[in-house]
Amino acid sequence: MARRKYRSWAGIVLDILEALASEGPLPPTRLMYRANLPYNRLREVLAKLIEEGLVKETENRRYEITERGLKALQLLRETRKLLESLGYRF
Amino acid sequence: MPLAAFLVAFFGSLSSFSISLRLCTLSRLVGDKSFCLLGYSFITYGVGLIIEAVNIVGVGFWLTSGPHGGFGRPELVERLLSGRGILLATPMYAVAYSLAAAGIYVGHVELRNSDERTVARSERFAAAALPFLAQLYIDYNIVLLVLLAILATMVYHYYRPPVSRSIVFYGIAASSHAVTLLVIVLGAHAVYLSTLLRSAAPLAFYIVALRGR
Repeated sequence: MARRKYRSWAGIVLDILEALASEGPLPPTRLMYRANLPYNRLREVLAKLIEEGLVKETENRRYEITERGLKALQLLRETRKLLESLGYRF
Repeated sequence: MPLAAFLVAFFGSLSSFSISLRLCTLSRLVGDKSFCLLGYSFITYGVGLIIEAVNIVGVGFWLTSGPHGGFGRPELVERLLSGRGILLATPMYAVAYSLAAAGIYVGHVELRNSDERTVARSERFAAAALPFLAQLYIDYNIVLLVLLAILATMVYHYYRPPVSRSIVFYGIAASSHAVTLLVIVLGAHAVYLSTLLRSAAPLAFYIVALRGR
Protein backbone atom coordinates (compact mmCIF):
# COMPACT_ATOMS: atom_id res chain seq x y z
CA MET A 1 0.00 0.00 0.00
CA ALA A 2 1.41 3.42 -0.95
CA ARG A 3 2.34 5.60 1.99
CA ARG A 4 0.34 8.82 2.23
CA LYS A 5 2.46 11.92 2.27
CA TYR A 6 1.11 14.70 4.47
CA ARG A 7 1.88 18.37 3.90
CA SER A 8 3.44 19.88 6.97
CA TRP A 9 1.77 22.68 8.90
CA ALA A 10 4.44 25.06 7.63
CA GLY A 11 3.71 24.00 4.05
CA ILE A 12 0.00 24.70 4.46
CA VAL A 13 0.69 28.10 6.03
CA LEU A 14 3.13 28.93 3.24
CA ASP A 15 0.60 28.04 0.53
CA ILE A 16 -2.15 30.12 2.14
CA LEU A 17 0.05 33.16 2.80
CA GLU A 18 1.48 33.03 -0.72
CA ALA A 19 -2.01 32.89 -2.19
CA LEU A 20 -3.12 35.90 -0.14
CA ALA A 21 0.06 37.85 -0.81
CA SER A 22 -0.10 37.31 -4.57
CA GLU A 23 -3.85 37.70 -5.16
CA GLY A 24 -4.92 40.03 -2.36
CA PRO A 25 -8.00 39.41 -0.17
CA LEU A 26 -9.69 36.17 -1.17
CA PRO A 27 -13.02 34.54 -0.36
CA PRO A 28 -12.87 31.15 1.40
CA THR A 29 -13.83 29.17 -1.72
CA ARG A 30 -11.08 30.64 -3.84
CA LEU A 31 -8.58 30.19 -1.01
CA MET A 32 -9.66 26.59 -0.64
CA TYR A 33 -8.68 25.82 -4.24
CA ARG A 34 -5.48 27.82 -4.11
CA ALA A 35 -4.32 26.13 -0.93
CA ASN A 36 -5.68 22.73 -1.99
CA LEU A 37 -7.48 22.11 1.28
CA PRO A 38 -10.96 20.81 2.10
CA TYR A 39 -13.26 23.51 3.42
CA ASN A 40 -13.53 22.40 7.05
CA ARG A 41 -9.74 21.98 7.23
CA LEU A 42 -9.27 25.44 5.74
CA ARG A 43 -11.54 26.92 8.41
CA GLU A 44 -9.46 25.33 11.15
CA VAL A 45 -6.22 26.59 9.66
CA LEU A 46 -7.58 30.10 9.07
CA ALA A 47 -8.84 30.24 12.66
CA LYS A 48 -5.33 29.42 13.82
CA LEU A 49 -3.74 31.97 11.48
CA ILE A 50 -6.16 34.68 12.63
CA GLU A 51 -5.32 33.80 16.23
CA GLU A 52 -1.61 34.15 15.39
CA GLY A 53 -2.26 37.48 13.69
CA LEU A 54 -1.04 36.41 10.27
CA VAL A 55 -4.40 36.73 8.54
CA LYS A 56 -7.50 38.81 9.18
CA GLU A 57 -11.08 38.60 8.01
CA THR A 58 -12.41 41.62 6.13
CA GLU A 59 -15.91 43.09 6.28
CA ASN A 60 -17.05 41.32 3.08
CA ARG A 61 -16.03 37.88 4.41
CA ARG A 62 -12.72 37.70 2.62
CA TYR A 63 -9.38 36.87 4.13
CA GLU A 64 -6.42 39.21 3.95
CA ILE A 65 -2.78 38.84 4.90
CA THR A 66 -1.50 41.14 7.67
CA GLU A 67 1.88 42.83 8.11
CA ARG A 68 2.87 40.10 10.52
CA GLY A 69 1.76 37.57 7.93
CA LEU A 70 3.97 39.17 5.28
CA LYS A 71 6.89 39.00 7.68
CA ALA A 72 6.17 35.33 8.37
CA LEU A 73 5.91 34.64 4.63
CA GLN A 74 9.27 36.22 3.96
CA LEU A 75 10.89 34.27 6.78
CA LEU A 76 9.27 31.03 5.61
CA ARG A 77 10.61 31.54 2.11
CA GLU A 78 14.11 32.30 3.42
CA THR A 79 14.32 29.34 5.76
CA ARG A 80 12.62 26.88 3.41
CA LYS A 81 15.89 25.92 1.77
CA LEU A 82 17.59 25.57 5.12
CA LEU A 83 14.86 23.34 6.52
CA GLU A 84 14.74 21.20 3.37
CA SER A 85 18.46 20.66 3.81
CA LEU A 86 17.70 19.23 7.23
CA GLY A 87 15.25 16.87 5.58
CA TYR A 88 12.19 18.84 6.67
CA ARG A 89 9.62 18.54 3.91
CA PHE A 90 7.22 21.40 3.28
CA MET B 1 45.55 23.06 12.96
CA PRO B 2 44.41 24.13 16.47
CA LEU B 3 43.94 27.74 15.34
CA ALA B 4 41.94 26.65 12.29
CA ALA B 5 39.80 24.40 14.48
CA PHE B 6 39.21 27.25 16.94
CA LEU B 7 38.23 29.73 14.22
CA VAL B 8 35.90 27.32 12.45
CA ALA B 9 34.36 26.27 15.78
CA PHE B 10 33.84 29.90 16.77
CA PHE B 11 32.18 30.88 13.51
CA GLY B 12 30.31 27.59 13.42
CA SER B 13 28.81 28.39 16.81
CA LEU B 14 27.80 31.88 15.64
CA SER B 15 26.12 30.30 12.62
CA SER B 16 24.30 27.86 14.87
CA PHE B 17 23.00 30.66 17.09
CA SER B 18 21.93 32.67 14.05
CA ILE B 19 20.06 29.71 12.58
CA SER B 20 18.37 29.01 15.90
CA LEU B 21 17.24 32.63 16.13
CA ARG B 22 15.66 32.36 12.69
CA LEU B 23 13.89 29.13 13.54
CA CYS B 24 12.58 30.36 16.89
CA THR B 25 11.33 33.60 15.29
CA LEU B 26 9.59 31.56 12.62
CA SER B 27 8.09 29.31 15.28
CA ARG B 28 6.65 32.30 17.08
CA LEU B 29 5.23 33.81 13.90
CA VAL B 30 3.75 30.66 12.39
CA GLY B 31 2.82 28.85 15.59
CA ASP B 32 4.68 25.64 14.72
CA LYS B 33 6.43 24.25 17.81
CA SER B 34 8.65 21.92 15.81
CA PHE B 35 10.64 24.90 14.48
CA CYS B 36 11.38 25.95 18.03
CA LEU B 37 12.63 22.48 18.92
CA LEU B 38 14.90 22.57 15.89
CA GLY B 39 16.02 26.04 16.99
CA TYR B 40 16.89 24.80 20.47
CA SER B 41 18.85 21.94 18.93
CA PHE B 42 21.01 24.47 17.06
CA ILE B 43 21.51 26.46 20.27
CA THR B 44 22.81 23.44 22.15
CA TYR B 45 24.93 22.47 19.15
CA GLY B 46 26.42 25.96 19.19
CA VAL B 47 27.10 25.74 22.92
CA GLY B 48 28.95 22.49 22.30
CA LEU B 49 31.10 24.18 19.67
CA ILE B 50 31.82 27.08 22.03
CA ILE B 51 32.99 24.64 24.70
CA GLU B 52 35.31 22.99 22.19
CA ALA B 53 36.60 26.35 20.98
CA VAL B 54 37.32 27.47 24.54
CA ASN B 55 39.09 24.22 25.20
CA ILE B 56 41.29 24.66 22.15
CA VAL B 57 42.59 28.08 23.12
CA GLY B 58 43.04 27.03 26.72
CA VAL B 59 41.30 30.11 28.04
CA GLY B 60 40.97 28.21 31.22
CA PHE B 61 44.50 29.21 32.09
CA TRP B 62 43.45 32.63 33.18
CA LEU B 63 40.42 31.25 34.99
CA THR B 64 42.63 29.51 37.54
CA SER B 65 44.68 32.56 38.37
CA GLY B 66 43.60 35.71 40.12
CA PRO B 67 41.22 36.19 43.02
CA HIS B 68 38.44 34.07 41.60
CA GLY B 69 40.45 30.83 41.67
CA GLY B 70 38.47 28.98 39.04
CA PHE B 71 35.12 30.44 40.17
CA GLY B 72 34.85 27.74 42.82
CA ARG B 73 34.92 24.95 40.24
CA PRO B 74 38.60 24.05 39.95
CA GLU B 75 37.83 20.52 38.71
CA LEU B 76 35.84 21.95 35.79
CA VAL B 77 38.65 24.30 34.88
CA GLU B 78 41.14 21.47 35.14
CA ARG B 79 39.11 19.45 32.61
CA LEU B 80 39.22 22.35 30.20
CA LEU B 81 42.92 22.79 30.67
CA SER B 82 43.73 19.12 30.19
CA GLY B 83 42.18 19.21 26.71
CA ARG B 84 39.18 17.12 27.66
CA GLY B 85 36.74 19.90 26.91
CA ILE B 86 35.34 17.80 24.10
CA LEU B 87 33.97 15.42 26.72
CA LEU B 88 32.10 18.32 28.27
CA ALA B 89 30.74 19.20 24.84
CA THR B 90 29.45 15.74 23.90
CA PRO B 91 26.31 15.92 26.10
CA MET B 92 25.43 19.10 24.22
CA TYR B 93 25.51 17.23 20.92
CA ALA B 94 23.42 14.41 22.38
CA VAL B 95 20.81 16.93 23.49
CA ALA B 96 21.02 18.75 20.14
CA TYR B 97 20.40 15.59 18.08
CA SER B 98 17.60 14.53 20.45
CA LEU B 99 15.90 17.92 20.18
CA ALA B 100 16.21 17.82 16.40
CA ALA B 101 14.65 14.35 16.35
CA ALA B 102 11.81 15.55 18.58
CA GLY B 103 11.31 18.59 16.37
CA ILE B 104 11.11 16.50 13.22
CA TYR B 105 8.70 14.03 14.84
CA VAL B 106 6.41 16.82 16.05
CA GLY B 107 6.63 18.66 12.74
CA HIS B 108 5.62 15.77 10.54
CA VAL B 109 2.26 15.29 12.24
CA GLU B 110 -0.28 17.34 10.37
CA LEU B 111 -3.31 18.74 12.11
CA ARG B 112 -6.17 16.38 11.36
CA ASN B 113 -9.83 17.31 10.91
CA SER B 114 -11.20 18.39 14.31
CA ASP B 115 -8.88 15.95 15.99
CA GLU B 116 -5.90 17.34 17.82
CA ARG B 117 -5.31 14.12 19.73
CA THR B 118 -2.69 12.98 17.25
CA VAL B 119 -0.76 16.23 17.58
CA ALA B 120 -1.09 16.18 21.37
CA ARG B 121 0.13 12.57 21.47
CA SER B 122 3.24 13.32 19.46
CA GLU B 123 4.00 16.36 21.60
CA ARG B 124 3.67 14.28 24.75
CA PHE B 125 6.00 11.69 23.23
CA ALA B 126 8.58 14.35 22.45
CA ALA B 127 8.25 15.85 25.94
CA ALA B 128 8.60 12.42 27.56
CA ALA B 129 11.57 11.37 25.45
CA LEU B 130 13.62 14.50 25.89
CA PRO B 131 14.39 14.22 29.62
CA PHE B 132 15.40 10.60 29.16
CA LEU B 133 17.68 11.41 26.28
CA ALA B 134 19.05 14.49 28.02
CA GLN B 135 20.08 12.35 30.98
CA LEU B 136 22.60 10.48 28.91
CA TYR B 137 26.02 11.71 30.03
CA ILE B 138 27.96 10.70 27.03
CA ASP B 139 31.66 10.27 26.78
CA TYR B 140 31.57 7.86 23.87
CA ASN B 141 31.13 9.19 20.35
CA ILE B 142 29.75 5.89 19.21
CA VAL B 143 26.58 6.62 21.18
CA LEU B 144 26.32 9.96 19.37
CA LEU B 145 26.70 8.12 16.10
CA VAL B 146 23.78 5.89 17.06
CA LEU B 147 21.64 8.92 17.94
CA LEU B 148 22.58 10.55 14.67
CA ALA B 149 21.72 7.38 12.77
CA ILE B 150 18.28 7.34 14.47
CA LEU B 151 17.77 11.00 13.56
CA ALA B 152 18.77 10.45 9.93
CA THR B 153 16.51 7.38 9.74
CA MET B 154 13.55 9.37 11.09
CA VAL B 155 14.15 12.11 8.56
CA TYR B 156 14.27 9.65 5.69
CA HIS B 157 11.27 7.69 6.98
CA TYR B 158 8.99 10.70 7.34
CA TYR B 159 10.13 12.96 4.55
CA ARG B 160 12.08 10.95 1.95
CA PRO B 161 14.21 14.00 1.22
CA PRO B 162 16.64 14.30 -1.66
CA VAL B 163 19.62 12.32 -0.39
CA SER B 164 22.20 14.65 -1.85
CA ARG B 165 20.90 17.56 0.21
CA SER B 166 19.91 16.30 3.61
CA ILE B 167 22.60 13.65 3.93
CA VAL B 168 25.26 16.37 3.84
CA PHE B 169 24.52 17.59 7.37
CA TYR B 170 24.15 14.12 8.86
CA GLY B 171 27.17 12.82 6.93
CA ILE B 172 29.38 15.67 8.13
CA ALA B 173 28.22 15.36 11.73
CA ALA B 174 28.59 11.57 11.70
CA SER B 175 32.09 11.78 10.22
CA SER B 176 33.06 14.29 12.92
CA HIS B 177 32.23 11.74 15.61
CA ALA B 178 33.68 8.81 13.66
CA VAL B 179 37.00 10.64 13.30
CA THR B 180 37.24 10.99 17.08
CA LEU B 181 37.13 7.22 17.36
CA LEU B 182 40.38 7.16 15.38
CA VAL B 183 42.21 9.17 18.03
CA ILE B 184 44.36 6.15 18.83
CA VAL B 185 45.72 6.21 15.27
CA LEU B 186 45.62 9.91 14.46
CA GLY B 187 46.43 11.30 17.89
CA ALA B 188 45.44 14.82 18.87
CA HIS B 189 44.84 15.72 15.22
CA ALA B 190 41.72 13.57 15.31
CA VAL B 191 40.23 15.85 17.96
CA TYR B 192 40.91 19.01 15.96
CA LEU B 193 39.66 17.41 12.75
CA SER B 194 36.53 16.31 14.57
CA THR B 195 35.89 19.87 15.75
CA LEU B 196 36.49 21.21 12.23
CA LEU B 197 33.97 18.82 10.72
CA ARG B 198 31.39 19.44 13.42
CA SER B 199 31.70 23.20 12.97
CA ALA B 200 31.47 22.99 9.19
CA ALA B 201 27.90 21.68 9.29
CA PRO B 202 26.18 24.79 10.74
CA LEU B 203 28.44 27.06 8.67
CA ALA B 204 27.27 25.28 5.54
CA PHE B 205 23.66 25.69 6.61
CA TYR B 206 24.17 29.37 7.31
CA ILE B 207 25.47 29.82 3.79
CA VAL B 208 22.46 27.93 2.46
CA ALA B 209 20.19 30.20 4.51
CA LEU B 210 21.87 33.33 3.13
CA ARG B 211 21.50 32.03 -0.40
CA GLY B 212 17.81 31.44 0.28
CA ARG B 213 17.13 35.20 0.42
